[in-house]
Amino acid sequence: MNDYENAIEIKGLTKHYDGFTLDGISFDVPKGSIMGFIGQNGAGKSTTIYSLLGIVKPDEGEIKIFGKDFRENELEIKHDISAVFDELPFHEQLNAKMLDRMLSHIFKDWSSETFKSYLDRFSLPYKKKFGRFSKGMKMKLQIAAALSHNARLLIMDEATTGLDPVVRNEILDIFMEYLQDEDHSILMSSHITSDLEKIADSVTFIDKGKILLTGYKDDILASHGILKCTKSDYAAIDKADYISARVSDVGAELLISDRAACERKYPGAVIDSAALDDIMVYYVNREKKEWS
Amino acid sequence: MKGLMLKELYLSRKLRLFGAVIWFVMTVFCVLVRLSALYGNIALLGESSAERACDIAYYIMVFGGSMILYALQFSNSVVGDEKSGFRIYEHTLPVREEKLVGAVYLTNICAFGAVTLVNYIVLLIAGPIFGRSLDPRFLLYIPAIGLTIYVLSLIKGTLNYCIRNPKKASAILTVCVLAVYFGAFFGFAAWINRFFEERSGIDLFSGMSETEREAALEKVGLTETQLMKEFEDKLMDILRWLGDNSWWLVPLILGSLAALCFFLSVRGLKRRGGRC
Repeated sequence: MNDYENAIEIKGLTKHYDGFTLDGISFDVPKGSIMGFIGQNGAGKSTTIYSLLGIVKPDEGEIKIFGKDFRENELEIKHDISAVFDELPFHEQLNAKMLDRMLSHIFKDWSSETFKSYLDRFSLPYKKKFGRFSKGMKMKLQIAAALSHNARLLIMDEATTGLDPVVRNEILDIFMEYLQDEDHSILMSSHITSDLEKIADSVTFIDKGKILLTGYKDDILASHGILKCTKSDYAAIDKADYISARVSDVGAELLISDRAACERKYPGAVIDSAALDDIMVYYVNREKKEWS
Repeated sequence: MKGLMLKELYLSRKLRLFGAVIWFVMTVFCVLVRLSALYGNIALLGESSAERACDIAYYIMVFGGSMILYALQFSNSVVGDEKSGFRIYEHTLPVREEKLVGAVYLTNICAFGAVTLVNYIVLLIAGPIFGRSLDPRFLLYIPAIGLTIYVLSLIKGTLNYCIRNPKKASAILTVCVLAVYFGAFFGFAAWINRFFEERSGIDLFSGMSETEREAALEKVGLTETQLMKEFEDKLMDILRWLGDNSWWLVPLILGSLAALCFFLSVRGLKRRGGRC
């Protein structure tokens, strides 16, 4: 049952829409890890996640979840998956009690006790209508529901967007607890890269329907750096050595993807650590190469 | 399936309760009219007027109540699912689209059974209250009202599954209902016209005044009442023949329609998620 290496394996996933193509993307989410899925709006994050959840049917490609083909084992796999969206997907006239009863008949491993314990922990009322919940309460409710049927994989689409830092921290703590079980894995798409820097083990960066980067977060952060130099030094740097450069009147800042090689090639150059945010911005501007 | 049916019940319970309250108030009002006719103010109107008021109250109690109860008991959460985002979420549940649509159908069939039972009880109670014996035809008329409303709710649900914009879906349904209504109305009128023409040999509706029509009919030894009576007899003969020989057409047509709506709804739901 648990004999698999990756919670998610995606190979050559393709989906065509009018004006957008998810272009044969491939990446894996190792079992027991949390992967941050980053990219700007319209990059293809939601299409990828919707394909993983069976909401959209890809045109091509292979999706394996828990080592099994998703299409062939969709219903069985869905018992072990939880999805959390940026907006509450439940009707406003429902309350937690009704949701508990509903979902207990849908998921085979649904636990009302677990659900109630999460409600207590998040101080969420059992009988108050969802329409009267705040944004933070709605998100906590989704997470409570997602974690109450013993799912082995949590897939989140911009789940922490729009939440205040206190609630976000509280939720990130819950995810860390969830990951204490080595069978549990999380794929989390987010704009807030600082959250991912805190908790993600690996990161996948998508842009315009293509994967630009995928790998362990520490490796990515270690290999990338921001090279700071004067304008005259910048002119001497080989264009192939950097992803893109932010040029201002005082100098230039370049994102490099092989920090060690650059340190050898340009001794004495100032190379600072790059945050995920920087990496995202510089990669998005890679076609322009030079921007201000 | 049970969880999804619970969702349907939770979402429509306010509407159902509202329908039940209106129905109850109307039923009580009808009973009060009857009691007033027997002992109170309506009797002052004169015996025939009181009797007429009782007749109306009886039919409202038996048929008006059932119409309200049926109309407000069939749930249609399709639009609400779309607005709330549940449409996306339900695709992540370990449930097939057939079950998602089936839950709505099954909930409404249960509602149909329950409402029919309540209406039969009302029919049985209304008889002694209004001093009338049970007309067995009413046992067919009541579920016929329910089935008509159920069919409309099926078509509306199917349109909502297939068309993203609920206003557009409602507009299409309205146009279809009006087309069927006017089609049936004009078709029926043309049929009567043809029957009268064939029977009397005169085109009675070609701008003749009532006096001219009566005079023309008198020439061939007929009256308008007589022709209408013959037409009614012919209509009843056809209905009787259909009832005796082709009653199975009704469940067949309804079953086929429900199956078609189900198929289209499932297809619409899959397409909405980009799955087909």
